[in-house]
Amino acid sequence: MGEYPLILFTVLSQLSAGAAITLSLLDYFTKIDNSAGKKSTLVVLVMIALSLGISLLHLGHPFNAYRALTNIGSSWLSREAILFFLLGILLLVYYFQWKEENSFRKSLGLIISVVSVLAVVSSGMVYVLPAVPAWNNFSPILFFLFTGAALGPMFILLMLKLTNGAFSRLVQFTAVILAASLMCFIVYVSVLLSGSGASASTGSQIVGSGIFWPRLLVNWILPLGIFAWLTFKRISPDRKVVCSLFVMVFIGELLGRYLFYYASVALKVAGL
Amino acid sequence: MGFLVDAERCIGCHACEMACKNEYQSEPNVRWRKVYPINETEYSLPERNHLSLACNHCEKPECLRVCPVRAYTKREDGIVIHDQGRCIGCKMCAMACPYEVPQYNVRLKKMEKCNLCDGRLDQGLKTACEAACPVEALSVIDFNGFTKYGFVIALPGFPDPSITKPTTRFIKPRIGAQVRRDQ
Amino acid sequence: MKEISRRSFLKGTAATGAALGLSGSFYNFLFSGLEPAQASDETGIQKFQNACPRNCYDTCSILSTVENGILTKVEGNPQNTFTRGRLCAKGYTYTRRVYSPDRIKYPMRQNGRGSGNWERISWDEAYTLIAKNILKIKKEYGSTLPICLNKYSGNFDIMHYGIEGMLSSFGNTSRATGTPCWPAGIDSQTFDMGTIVNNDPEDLVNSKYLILWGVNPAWTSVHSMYFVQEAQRRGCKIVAIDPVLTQTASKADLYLQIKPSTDGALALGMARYILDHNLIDAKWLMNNALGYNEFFDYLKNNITTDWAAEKTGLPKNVIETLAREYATAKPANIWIGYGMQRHANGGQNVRAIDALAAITGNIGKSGGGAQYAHLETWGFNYHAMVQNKPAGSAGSGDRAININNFGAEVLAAKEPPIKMLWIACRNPMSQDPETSVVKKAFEAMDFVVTADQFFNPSVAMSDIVLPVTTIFETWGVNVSYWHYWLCLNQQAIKPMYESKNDIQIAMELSKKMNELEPGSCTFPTSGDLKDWVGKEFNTGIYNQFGISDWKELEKGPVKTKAGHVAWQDGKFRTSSGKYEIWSEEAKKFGHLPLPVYREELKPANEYPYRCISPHWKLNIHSQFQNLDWMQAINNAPFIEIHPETAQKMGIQEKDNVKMYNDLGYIVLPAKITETVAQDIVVVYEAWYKDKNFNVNYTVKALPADMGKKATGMPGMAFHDNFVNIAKV
Repeated sequence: MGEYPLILFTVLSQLSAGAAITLSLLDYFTKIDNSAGKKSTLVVLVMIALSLGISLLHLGHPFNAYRALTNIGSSWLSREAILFFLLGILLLVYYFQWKEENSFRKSLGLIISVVSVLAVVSSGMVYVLPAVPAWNNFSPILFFLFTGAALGPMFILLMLKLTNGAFSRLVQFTAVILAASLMCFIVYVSVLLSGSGASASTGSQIVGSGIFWPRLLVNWILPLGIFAWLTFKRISPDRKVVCSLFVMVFIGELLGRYLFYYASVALKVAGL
Repeated sequence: MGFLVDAERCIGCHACEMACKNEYQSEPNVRWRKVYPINETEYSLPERNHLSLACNHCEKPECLRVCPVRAYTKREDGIVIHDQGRCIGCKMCAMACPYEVPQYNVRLKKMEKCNLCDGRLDQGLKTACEAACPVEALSVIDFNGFTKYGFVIALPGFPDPSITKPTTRFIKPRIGAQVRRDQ
Repeated sequence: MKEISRRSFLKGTAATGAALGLSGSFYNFLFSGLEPAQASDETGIQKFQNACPRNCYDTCSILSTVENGILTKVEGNPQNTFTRGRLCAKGYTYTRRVYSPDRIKYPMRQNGRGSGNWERISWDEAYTLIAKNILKIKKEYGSTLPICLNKYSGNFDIMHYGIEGMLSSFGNTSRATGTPCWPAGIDSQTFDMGTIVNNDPEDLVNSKYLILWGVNPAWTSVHSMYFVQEAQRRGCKIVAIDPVLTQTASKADLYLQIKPSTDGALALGMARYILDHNLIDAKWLMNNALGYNEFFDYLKNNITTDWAAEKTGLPKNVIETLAREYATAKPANIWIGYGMQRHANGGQNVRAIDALAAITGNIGKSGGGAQYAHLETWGFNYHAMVQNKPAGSAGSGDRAININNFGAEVLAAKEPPIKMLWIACRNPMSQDPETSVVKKAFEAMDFVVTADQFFNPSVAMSDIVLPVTTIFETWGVNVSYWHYWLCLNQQAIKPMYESKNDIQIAMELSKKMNELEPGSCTFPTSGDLKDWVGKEFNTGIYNQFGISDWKELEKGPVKTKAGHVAWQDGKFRTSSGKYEIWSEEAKKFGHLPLPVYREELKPANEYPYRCISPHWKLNIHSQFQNLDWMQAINNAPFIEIHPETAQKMGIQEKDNVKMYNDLGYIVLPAKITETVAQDIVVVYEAWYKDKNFNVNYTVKALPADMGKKATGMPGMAFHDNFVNIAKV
């Protein structure tokens, strides 16, 4: 089974966190239909629960997973688990607040946004390990945040069936995020390749992998190309287009996460 | 406390590694101690030298830091203990250790590693590996105020000790004279 | 059952055993026959004396721990001051061998040799099949000479010589005779000194200068390596002479990369220098040696250090310095390895090295000598081995088949031909030269019986396989051909599955043969194996080891009381009683009387590389490398190639390389290393489970020059194997 549970868990949980932020901020700053908001909250909640469930598959002893909450003092894995667990609880409370105008819900939404960011950051921190030079920097946090930022808004946009100005602003936001993450990825890989030892081998593993180009294509080149073409033709994207873009980026992120786990070269004793 | 590995004495015979397996009857692919060849190009003349490594019982153990279930503890005497009873098999420690020390036991679905024969030491016995080394290349030394000229903190192939500050110390191999036909 | 791990097995109680669903026979084995006293009394932990019986210098004294009838660990016995409470990597795998899921568990019959189509049969069926075949052969050919035994060094326990006894008890039979290991060197020392005797290896620490000549104790005698290094720490200079930069050479003060098979030239060149510079021990020679003047004449007339330099590839000044250092350090020691005598001139080379020790007066000295091996502690009764032949046995005696050309000689045997093989303590399909010829010999048989523990290539070519016990499941007694300890091997656990000791098999087969044809087999039909161990002892052994009863060995191993410095009394066992540099005995066996240089074999144009196939550190021949603990360390053979050679042949690290000659080929990955010379490749001989690898496919059955006198057959020139290599 390898790291597949971790690939699914991280991408799904980041998507959920991005969606939670988008939803709560839209709710705070704009007017959202109650039933659509409630439904979206439920879906995000289910996704978080699902991703946490999937993460258990990575464990040798999933039924003892509760113990993973016991080392918040030093373990980012403990912190990550607690924050996502907390996020789930907050979303559950949030779910029951979808009635009329509700200032508590809006304030709760802000807390959810903050917890979501912290949860994704702690997910990234799990991988900031001196033993894996390619990870031992800001990159895991940055790319995990990008995942949430690229997928979350599109997801909510589709869930809420938005059509107004928020729709195009979110689409534009997604385009900017994708462009930024592509740039960061290029810089990251170049830095790795120009390095030495384990970093350089990680770089060449990434570039040499059979899924490097497919990933570039579906994660960035195609979506950004479509954005560019639409902008050039002055066509506003519709739901179908966004839906396809979402699927592409989602697959791209899964491929990217696969590379993240399988291409990283850890320090080890040389000689064997 | 930590291991002292005398690479001058070590003949890479794997007796230490196998004695460890014999003591704990460990799974075939779980190797608490491993003997690594040092690349022959590392020294002025090609020689067969080795690093016999188990857990380095680091001063700053990454395993202990990252473990979400607090399965790791560091004893007063410095031994880093992994408590398999608490372990849930998340493999976080395997990712974090620069020396590939914690290993996954597929059957138990838990991690395991060298606990420096804590049980044997507590009974006043030597570790299984030290007791087995036919050339006495391995020993356990107490670091409290213990410094001796000639110990080094790394040999070629040993990952950067600044990360976790291993307590393992080494004695360098002496490179003998060679009369070779390829010179 | 394979998935039941060792650990759960160890921790298993009856309850967990049942819960894990252990199958009937296995469960029964574990919990049926345990004697209540062992199972329930006290802590349930017992310690037993065991001895590693493998063909190895070290013959370790083992202390085994048994908990509730299960062998839970093995340790070195600290009472033995040579093995010093330590085993080697192989020894520490013993629990894994005993409880290996790969063990042969029951007698089995293969329907079609080499087919893998095995069926389980009962012991009675096995004995009946075997007995009927033996009796049929006897009837058809009028004698049991068509039955050939190939048994040697898989288990050197003294009682295991009863396997030879079993064959004797059938009548006159054919016997694989000789030894592949060390015969040329044995003959050399026999010509020079009358027999082989080495100083106690614990005496190595007294040397001031030690030449490790073609020997790699770091891999083949790890316990000796402690004494080598201890000598080094006490100021002894360690010089390693070897065509390969071995693990031992890596630890030496000086390594000399000699051209293979030219060791005699080096020794003679050194001798000439020593003679010219008057560094000889004339007094010792006058008192102890014969033929030294003739030898000196030969040196003066025929040998120069320039010649030696050209022959050996070592610079003249290096040879001269070595000669001076060796001759002036007192005492100076040489350990002559078995590797360096596995050449067509190996015996003659050993004689030249012996002469070096003699002319410098180092023989008979603590810290000195020319160490090779000894058989001083092997004076047992061989009670199990010595069996009378049945009355009226046809034939005038046993027929010798050269163990070093086994396949061809089995095929060539006439009047009567060989029709049946009994293989025990041996794996000729892995270890003999010319594997494809050996295979043909197996194919040509009517019936092949092999007694073994694992399904190795020889078992694969058998009709019947009989499961034999490990050392922990039976009794035995062991001594070494190197150190001077005597060690009892106690039965520590019940035999696993249906395995039996070879002697038990002999007894039960004898019973069956006598049932079918009374008087057809003289081997005793019953007996207690522990009592049989006792019957191997005599007063000679008792006096030598200072014990009065063999049962004292239950308290631990013992060492000989005297004789730790070979030839200290100056009483050589040659016919003259002197060290014979000029040996009339050698002449009788067709050799030159003096240790003159005999030309080494050189590569031919088509096959420009010499393949050396030494021992590997994780096995002893075809044992141990197949165990999963070993596989976890290494599970693939490789070929070592010098970087320049690799570059010339377009070979890179891990590339698959075909190594071939006119006999056959093998394909294996390259390991590029400067531990070999440009004109040499190294492939370590081993049997890997489920791998069709065997270096002996390329090794000719080329005899070494000596061996006939002491072992009945010349040795094997394993390292005169010329090959070519190509990237595939």
